Amino acid sequence: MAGWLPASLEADYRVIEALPARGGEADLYVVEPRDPADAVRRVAKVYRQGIDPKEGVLERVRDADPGHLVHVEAYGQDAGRSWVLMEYVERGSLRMFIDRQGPQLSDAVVLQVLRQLNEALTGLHRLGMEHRDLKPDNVLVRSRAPLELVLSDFGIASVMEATVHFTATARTIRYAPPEAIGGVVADEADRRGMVAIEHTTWDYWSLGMMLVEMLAGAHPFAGLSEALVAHQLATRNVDDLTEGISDPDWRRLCRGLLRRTPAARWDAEAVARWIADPRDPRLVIAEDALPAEDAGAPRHTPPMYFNGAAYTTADELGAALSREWRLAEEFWRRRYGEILTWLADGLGLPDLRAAVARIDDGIVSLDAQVFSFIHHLAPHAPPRFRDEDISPETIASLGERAVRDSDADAADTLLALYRGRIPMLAGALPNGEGFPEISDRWDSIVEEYRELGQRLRAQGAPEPHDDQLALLLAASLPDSPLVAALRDHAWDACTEDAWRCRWYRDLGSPDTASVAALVMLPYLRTAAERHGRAAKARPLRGCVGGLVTGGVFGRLVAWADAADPGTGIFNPPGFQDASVWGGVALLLLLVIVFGVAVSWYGRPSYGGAADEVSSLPASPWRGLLQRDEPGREEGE
Amino acid sequence: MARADTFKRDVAPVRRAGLVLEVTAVTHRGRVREHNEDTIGVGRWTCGDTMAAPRRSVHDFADARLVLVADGMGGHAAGRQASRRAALTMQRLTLDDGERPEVGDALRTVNRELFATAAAEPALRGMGTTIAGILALADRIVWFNVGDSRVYSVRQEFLRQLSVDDVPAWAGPGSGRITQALGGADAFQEIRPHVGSQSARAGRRYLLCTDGLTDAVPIETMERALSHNDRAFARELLDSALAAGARDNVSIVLASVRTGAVAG
Repeated sequence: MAGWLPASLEADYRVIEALPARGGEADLYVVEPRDPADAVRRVAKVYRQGIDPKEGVLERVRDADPGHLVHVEAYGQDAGRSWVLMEYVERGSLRMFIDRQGPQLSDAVVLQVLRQLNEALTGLHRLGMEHRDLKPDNVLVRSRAPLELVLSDFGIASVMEATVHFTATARTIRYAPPEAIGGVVADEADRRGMVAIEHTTWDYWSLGMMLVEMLAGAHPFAGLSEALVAHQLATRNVDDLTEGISDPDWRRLCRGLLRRTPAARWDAEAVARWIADPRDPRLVIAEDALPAEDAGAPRHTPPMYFNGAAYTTADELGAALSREWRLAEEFWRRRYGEILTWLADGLGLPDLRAAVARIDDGIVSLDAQVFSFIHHLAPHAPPRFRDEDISPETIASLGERAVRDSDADAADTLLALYRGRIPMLAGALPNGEGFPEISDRWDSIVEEYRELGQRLRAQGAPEPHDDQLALLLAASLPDSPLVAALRDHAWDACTEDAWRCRWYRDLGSPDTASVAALVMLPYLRTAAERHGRAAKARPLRGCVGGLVTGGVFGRLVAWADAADPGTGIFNPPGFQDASVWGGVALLLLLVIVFGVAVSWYGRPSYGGAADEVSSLPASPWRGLLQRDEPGREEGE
Repeated sequence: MARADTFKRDVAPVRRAGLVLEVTAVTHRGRVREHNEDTIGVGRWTCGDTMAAPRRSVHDFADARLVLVADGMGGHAAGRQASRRAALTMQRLTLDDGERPEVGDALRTVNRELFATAAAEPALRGMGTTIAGILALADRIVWFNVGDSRVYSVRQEFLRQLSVDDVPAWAGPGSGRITQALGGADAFQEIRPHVGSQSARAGRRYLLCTDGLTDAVPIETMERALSHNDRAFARELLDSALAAGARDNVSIVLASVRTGAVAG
């Protein structure tokens, strides 16, 4: 048989037959040892001049466990040509096996093939190599019963970089992943480093295509030209590739392997888990990027994944986030670094990236951060907050629900809107009609509320709680139905005892009181009632004190009242003028002690403003007062 | 009692001269592993041995300060070597006088050197490590990671993850699978480090940790301890990981940007 063997091989082997060589990178010969004691035939691969396999890789392959890889026995170089001596696998390829047994193979046989190829790929990848041309023709049958398969021709990508120009023509793209043809989403994502790619995912796409072919009985691209296959890979949704498989478990496996995005593609471990249990809940089919043309996005944009879908524009992502507030919050907290990189490097929008990064510095409330983030991405999306479209009307309705129906969720949302100053943020949006007005009016009512609070504090009333301002927000609308609800509740809060309290009365009648005062009346009711009840007891105490102690005790009482001006109105002035009787000074020291005791007894108890607030009766906005949710507010 | 207006910028820029980095660091072999393959680094100090208690130190901002965690892999000796070598090389590249490379380039250099070392020493073949850390420059904090070790920005009531996990999309974090590392393969593989930066402001607080913490302790549990001071927070996180079985080595580093004098 004709054929040229390098001298170092020629000494020990003779050529039996030349094998059809693919791609023109090397000549392949079946050789036989000249030593009659060794009857085992081998294959000699003699490379063309200038093509040199990487020695380190060959060494690793030679020393590797031959398990499911074609065994490399020796290698060398002669007269400028490299050669490799390897195992001769006589029983043909998996292609021939399929042609003979198929076209459709039984599940049991496919499972055997899958198991062995997964082991083979794992072994290959462990050596730091990828196959990159996995197809039935490159899988050889070492034994038929039991079926034993080995990988061959695994040198293309890693062993010989120099062979690309030869092998590119030999490699069929029917088993090649979308990234192989270039110009697709995933490839770009890989190149830009947006998605960390395991470098072995290429072969798992090929494995997926082989499985589809064996299970469905036909290759999905059968009969198509290479150009058409390339076009389909670049532009078509790949999910329909698995349509020919009837068994749902097998189809799921193939869908996992045939993911357009390399990072989403199932790999060795996923396959091993599927083999152990095809319904292993840990196995998830990651949502895939759409082909670039279908997505209507500029090509080469890496996708951002959210809630099982891939997005290639900030607008789309923003809109999706606004529909899933809780997930959006999680996304904002956990994938912050990723989103910034995507905006700047993936979408090429450094200004948007900078604006989004500033949210973290400028806004403290987490809710407000999420709102701001979403609407930075999608400024024209209708304002949404916590899964609800918000408008001036919906805010008013939240207030009404919180007050009339004691709706805790509504009160909670209102509080969050207030704390995050969402109306102000919404006012800056293109779709934020009505919000700037609300925001202004709210500001002025808040100012009034604060002034009123200051005045009341000076008179001994408890500190107003800032969360009340949430109600003011809802009441800021012209003709807000909340105002009527507030009036009703304010009337309920005007009990006889409360009304004895001067500063409480000063807030005005619920019919005429300002919105700020209407919010305060029910809130301050308990405190006012205490003052009022204390005041009822006061006239008697003043009388006794005046009669008994004269001037000195009278001054003590006056001092006590000065410290509690809220009740002073019920101490008729005439009793304090009883000091004219004081000149008598009977048993002065003893009486002073007695008087001080009485004065303390008659003094209203000050448990402190906090105590009084917490003992509020069930008020409609008690929820607002007590809700102090962690995680809704932040600061550094 | 009065809740101040919460919508204010409470992270005020502070004069550079007054900024210090206060670091609280601890590493532990956990409850199952016999050895610690993690390495933590603070400035030029590194530690890969189980520590009895978190170590606290304060650093001037005048010089660049590097704080990192690295989770070695590849068997006891190799893993330990990988994380330690990565930490030392990173320190040399970013802290030594002379021309300092960008953080991404420094990480690529660390990766190359690890592969070179592994090629030269058969016992270290395949050694690899994750890395996550921050570099405090005069006016910026640069964060970085390769692999699944993490950098969080610690906010008052939640943790914000700055780093990007290099894990397969199908598996998610906690699967123990990573898609890239420094070293960690038989043949050289280039890496794509994740790098970002924030302005350096007093009040910023960062948590760096290996997956020995994040796999063992749910994020919600971690967030419940946020109100503690750094030392108590680090202690609490470590205790939670140990209580959860700590199947892996655990490393926790808290770095807080503050105003004040360097205490030592």
